[in-house]
Amino acid sequence: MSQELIIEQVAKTPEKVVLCGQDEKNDLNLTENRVHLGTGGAAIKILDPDTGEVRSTTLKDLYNVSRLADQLENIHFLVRPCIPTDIDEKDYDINMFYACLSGSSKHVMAGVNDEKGLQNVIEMASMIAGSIDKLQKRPFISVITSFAISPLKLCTQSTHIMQEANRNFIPVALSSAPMAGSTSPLTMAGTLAQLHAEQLAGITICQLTNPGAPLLYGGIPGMANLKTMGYSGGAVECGMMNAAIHQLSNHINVPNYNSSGLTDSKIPDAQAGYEKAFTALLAAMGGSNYIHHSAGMLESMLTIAHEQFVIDDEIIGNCCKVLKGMECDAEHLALEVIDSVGPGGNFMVSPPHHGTYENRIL
Amino acid sequence: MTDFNKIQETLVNLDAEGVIQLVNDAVKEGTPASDILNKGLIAGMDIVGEKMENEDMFIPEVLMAAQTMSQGVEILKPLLGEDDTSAKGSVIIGTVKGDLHDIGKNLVAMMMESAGLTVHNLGVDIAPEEFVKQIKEKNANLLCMSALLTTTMPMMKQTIDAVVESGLRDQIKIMVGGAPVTQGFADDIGADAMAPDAGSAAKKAKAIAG
Ligand code: B12
Repeated sequence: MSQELIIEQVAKTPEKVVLCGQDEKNDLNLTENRVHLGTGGAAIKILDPDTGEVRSTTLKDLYNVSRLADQLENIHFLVRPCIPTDIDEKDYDINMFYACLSGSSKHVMAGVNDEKGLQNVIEMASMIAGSIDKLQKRPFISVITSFAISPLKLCTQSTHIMQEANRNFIPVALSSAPMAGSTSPLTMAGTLAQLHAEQLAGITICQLTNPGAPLLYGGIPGMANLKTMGYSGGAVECGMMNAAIHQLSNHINVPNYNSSGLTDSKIPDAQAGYEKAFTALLAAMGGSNYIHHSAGMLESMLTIAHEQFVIDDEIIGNCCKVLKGMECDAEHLALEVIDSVGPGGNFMVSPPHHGTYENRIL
Repeated sequence: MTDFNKIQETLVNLDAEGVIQLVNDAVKEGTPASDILNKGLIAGMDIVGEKMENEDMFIPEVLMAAQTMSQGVEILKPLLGEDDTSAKGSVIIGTVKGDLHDIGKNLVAMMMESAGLTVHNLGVDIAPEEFVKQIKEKNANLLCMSALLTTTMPMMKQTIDAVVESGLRDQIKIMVGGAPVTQGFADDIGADAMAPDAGSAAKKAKAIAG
């Protein structure tokens, strides 16, 4: 691919992508620096909510977790959190989307096994929407394709799926996921440079397939634990690199998808808490439009747990709080209140400045 | 007298030049090549393997040591008898059909190589027929399969079935692995062994096929 071709094709990519929910209140406008965080991945194990023991995930788990994520108010969207290992793998695609869509009215994104699977999913979603036109107007589903096998190779199957999504104007997240130290250079900058090249290639393919096809720059920079080569999603470097992804996508005016809020711990413990808080906040402060893997996951994305979704909902809420920043107008400076309480007084009995403590101004 | 400890130590310290020097010296002194290999280089790699398992050494360092060892082996090869080189196991390893994950599989292959096994790494997306063909061609006695996806795990069973059908099952041991693969699954599909990581995979391979 020549530089010329890439520049020409990338320019055709929509700057604005709106991922809808079945319920309009869950629509996500992924432009500029608007930040959203949600669930992610394709975990294969769950800490059983009743026994606490680890076991394989089922279709029922997927449905239950979708309902849970639907209720947790800080989780903005649902990337299919786990795999229904109790059904035949040929039936995964349609059943995964069905379980998510029936459990939650938030936007649903997932990968599919093949083009046929995607066609079935689009057909089902069109039935829910009323027609394919209505689905394209309000896409409440989208797909992830791992079109890139780092370093610098295309996966044939996933590229075909990606193109099928393009042809149907279904938004697609172009995932390339190099691991610093094993499938990309050990340095953060080198990993990002390689990832950006992979993205430009993927975007070019999409726009050649169908000009104007909606897509997300999908940078998932990861890192290898150099003592085991295992995936170190909880490393602070992952948070840093994922924060940089939005700058790279913004540079070419395409909204981004990335990953943060992972942990390498197997249980919801202190390690899980700090790894998630650090990485999620970094990616959020980087302005990332669609941060997946941010809720519910453990063990470098192999496992989920109900309690972890609830804890992560809190972490996401805190990230969003930070992004709102501090208001500094006269009312918030509260000089009058300070004056009225005076030296040696206390603020416990001074009335909240607006409304109730529930929605107090901080 | 060749100081085998010195060779081991130098290897563990990643001093490639030093190792080559010591191997050449030992050859000049008339030490049997098989002793230099087994008591020096392979024994040194055993220490490296142990350090890796205890996470006292980084994987890139382990791979550097393995590279150094194979440089040493190159020197020794012309001097080694048929028995010394061919008695060790011959391993076929690949990621099963439909699966493109290979980081873990490649690590396992490298660790097996440094444990002294002859490894034929077929790559990714390998169909059952291809595994069977390669077992015959390479006259392998250990088949290793990797799968990272629940969608491709059934391919392990299909591959084992194909091996049984081809009549080769008696001549070959089968080991499986990958993040979703458990001992229970390995038992169910009729594999002989499974290992959760590269270090233990190499150890087991040596025990059952070395
Ligand atoms: C890196 C990665 C990728 C890379 C692979 C790059 C490469 N060159 O291998 C990319 C980005 C390409 C990728 C693609 C996909 N991936 Co992926 N991937 C991973 C990830 C994050 C890490 C795997 C890894 O390399 N680990 C590091 C190595 C060192 O560890 P390991 O592989 O487990 O190997 C060790 C042991 O298992 C053992 N071992 C391994 N093999 C063998 C063999 C033998 C014989 C023995 C004895 C031992 C053994 O020893 C190894 C060393 O200690 C895992 C999550 C995870 N934490 O495992 C997901 C994961 C496996 N992927 C997943 C998915 C869904 C996919 C995709 C389908 C995504 C999509 N929607 O398109 C595609 C599939 C592509 C395909 N057809 O194969 C899911 C699987 C879910 C499922 N259904 O089972 C996982 C679990 C992530 C998740 N939760 O979402 N992936």
